Order: sequence, then structure tokens, then C-alpha cells
Amino acid sequence: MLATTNKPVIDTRFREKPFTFRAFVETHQRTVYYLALDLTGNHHDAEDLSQEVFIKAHRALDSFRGDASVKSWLYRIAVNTYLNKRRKKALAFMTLQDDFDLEHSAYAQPDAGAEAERMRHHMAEAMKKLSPKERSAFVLRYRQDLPIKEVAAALNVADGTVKSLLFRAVKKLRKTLVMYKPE
Amino acid sequence: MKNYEALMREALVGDLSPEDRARLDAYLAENLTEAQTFREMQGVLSLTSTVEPATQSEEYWDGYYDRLVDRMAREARKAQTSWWEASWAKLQTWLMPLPTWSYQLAVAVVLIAAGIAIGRYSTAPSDVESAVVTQGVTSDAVAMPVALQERTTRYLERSTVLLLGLVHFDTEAAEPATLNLDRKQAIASDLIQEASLLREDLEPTQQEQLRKLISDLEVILLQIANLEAEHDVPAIELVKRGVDERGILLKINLTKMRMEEVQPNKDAAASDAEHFSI
Repeated sequence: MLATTNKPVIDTRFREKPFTFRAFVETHQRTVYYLALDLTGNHHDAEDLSQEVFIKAHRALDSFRGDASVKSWLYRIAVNTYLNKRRKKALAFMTLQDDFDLEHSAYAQPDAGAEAERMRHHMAEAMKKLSPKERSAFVLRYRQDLPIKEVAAALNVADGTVKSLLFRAVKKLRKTLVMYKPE
Repeated sequence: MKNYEALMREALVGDLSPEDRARLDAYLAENLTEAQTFREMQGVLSLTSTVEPATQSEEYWDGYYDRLVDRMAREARKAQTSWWEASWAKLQTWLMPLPTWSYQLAVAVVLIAAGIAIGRYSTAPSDVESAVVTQGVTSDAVAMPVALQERTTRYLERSTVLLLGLVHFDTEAAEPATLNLDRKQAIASDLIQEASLLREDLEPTQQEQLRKLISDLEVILLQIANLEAEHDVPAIELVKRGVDERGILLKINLTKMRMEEVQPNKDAAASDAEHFSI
């Protein structure tokens, strides 16, 4: 199976012509990885989760009908995989500071870099208080900027349920991020 | 307050009409505590939009696909484990929680059974006795009429096909409609009805293990029949977990193998019994 996946084929569902699995991964790896990072909160689990997403996508390539966009399809796989892992309690939670091996943004001032790192840490700590579904809804809406309908499709719930999840998530985050409250 | 909470919920996602926005603003102007809370919630969203994700180096991205392919190759090698190795591993997980004395007891039972078997077969019985003994052993193992055995085998085969269809369904990546849940539920309902008839018909045969297997299967079939929708992922995962934890598919395979082994002996013994008018 692996040997054939890098053979270029024309596949209109994926728009890239010719389609190879390598090109598919390279096109979407950043999107999937950063979504996984927001969901899991640490690099190790983000890499693991993002790889699982591509492995599942690879297995399900034939059943993908192309009705939804590729990105929506990958989001749905990522969120469902994350939620299943949390249900099985397979994720190890490590603090963001302990696990990251990052380079600082090219545009940051030294002070701004430290501040940005602190904010990321506080946000990551606050996000741990959310339930897996609240976190998934919050990440998809406010970090990935998906419209409510797409968030609902990714989570397999109604639009109203998404709004309730978001409201609960923001209420919880508000309590934890109290040091950042507006004047 | 609950009504205004609904308005705040809509406002946070930008889904509020101008009229409702005006209502909410009027309410917040009169209720300073809720107004403060709402401002802080909006502040959280502003903060969220300013927190940049930590970036990875270009070397990380350059190696991402190779790491992915390495992992896929490792998982493909693991999946090539033979059925027997998987079954043995499954058997070991059943046996693991048992205390040490149970293994010692099992060994003792095996030794005693071996001793009895040696004693029984070490003399040379007459042809008549041999036919009776054979029939006796056969009767003790599976005393089933052929028609009942065929019904049981068919039931187990249909259940296996249904369960495999569910166990192999990828709840995370596959489109829900491809599960074809309506059809599976119809088959499950049919098998549930057959299960109760089979258990009744098997009662005289004292096939307790087989009846237990059919009862275990019935539990799973009821869960399938009661699934509410194709996208009810947690419920489908629960059913899959039930199949896995009970080792249902392995038990079905072992049962079918036992039934196939006994069937030739039973046919021979039945024909011998007719011959010697026992």
C-alpha cells in the first residue's frame, strides 16, 4: 500500500494534480499539527495525534467522497481521534514549558518573546480546565476560525450545542485568565 | 437572566441581530455585574486571538513526512501478526488477572485428566465397547442433532459477519452513512430472536459454554439494535469495546472449530451405534 501511495494519480477530490500522499501531507501538515497542538497542549502528543490523523486519512482515502473540504475532513478526523483518546485517557499531560523545543518568532523582541511565552503558558494551563468537547469546540472556533456550522460538523453535534460548549468554555477560561481581565 | 445568557451566547459567536444586541446592551447597562462578566468573556476572546502558537523549525517540517512514513511502516509490520499470535495474546490477557493458585489448580486438573485418559485407553476394548465409548465421548463433548448444529453454525457465522462489519468501521475517518446501520440493526434483531430459540433448543444438550456464548452475543446484538444513529460515535465505540473485551470473535472461532472436530466422530459413532443396536 505504501509503495503505491506516492505514485501520482489524478484525483479531483483533492484538487492537487497530480495527487501523491507526500504532497497531501506536506500541504496539510502545519494545519493538522497546530490544531493537534491546541487540542493536546504539548508537542509530544501533538506530533502523535497529527500522525494518527494522516494515518487514518491514508486508510480512508478511498471512502472520502469529497462532499466536504479536505480541511474539514481532516479536522473531523483530528477531533474524533482526540476525543476518543481522551475517553481512553491515553494522553499524558505535561506542562507546555517542560516539553517544548521551540525557536522564538523571528519578529519578537526579547521582552515581547518572554511575554508571548508567558501568555502561551497561561492559556495552555487555562485550557486544561476545559472538557475535551469544550476544548475541541473552542479550538476549532477561536483558534482555527471555523464557522459554527463547520465546528458542528467536526464534532457531530448541532449548532446550538456548539454555542453552548463555547459559552461554557469561555466562562471557564475567564475564571482562570483573570490576570488578563480588561480594565 | 437565562434569557440574557442566551443572548450573550449568541453575541460571543457574532450571531446576534441588531435588535437583540440592543436588548442585551440595555440589560447590561442595568446589571453591572453581568456587564463586567460579559466584558471579561470578550476579553478572553481578544486574548485568544493574540496568543500566537509556538512555531516549529524548518528542520522539523522537513522531517515530518519521513517520521510519518516510518511510523506507518512500523504499524504495518505489527499488523502482520498472525491470527494465532493475536489469539494467544488475547488468551494471555484473559488469564493474566487470575491468581497464581488458579494456574496451579489448572495444571493439577490437566494432570489428573491425562491420568484418567491414559487409564481409560491403555486397555484394548472390544469393538462393541469401543463404539459405545466413542459414542459416549462424542455425546459428552457435543450431543447435538445435525440440524441443530447446522443452525448453530449458521447463527455464529452470521453474527461474525455482523460484528466484523462493526469492529472494522473506523468511527474517526469513515463517513457515517457507510456503516449502513439500519441494515445491521435489522440483522441484529433477527439474530436476537434466533438466539432465544437456539438457547431453548440447546438446553437438553447441556452445552453450557455454547449457551453462554450465545447469551454474550445477545448482549452485543442488543446494543447494536439499540444504537440511535450512525454518528453516535461513543455508543459505537462502546459496542466495539464490548466485542473486544469479551473476546467474542475468538470464542466463536474456537466454538466452530470444536464443533467441526466433533462432527466427523459423531457421524462415525452414530453409524456404529446403529450397527450394534445400542
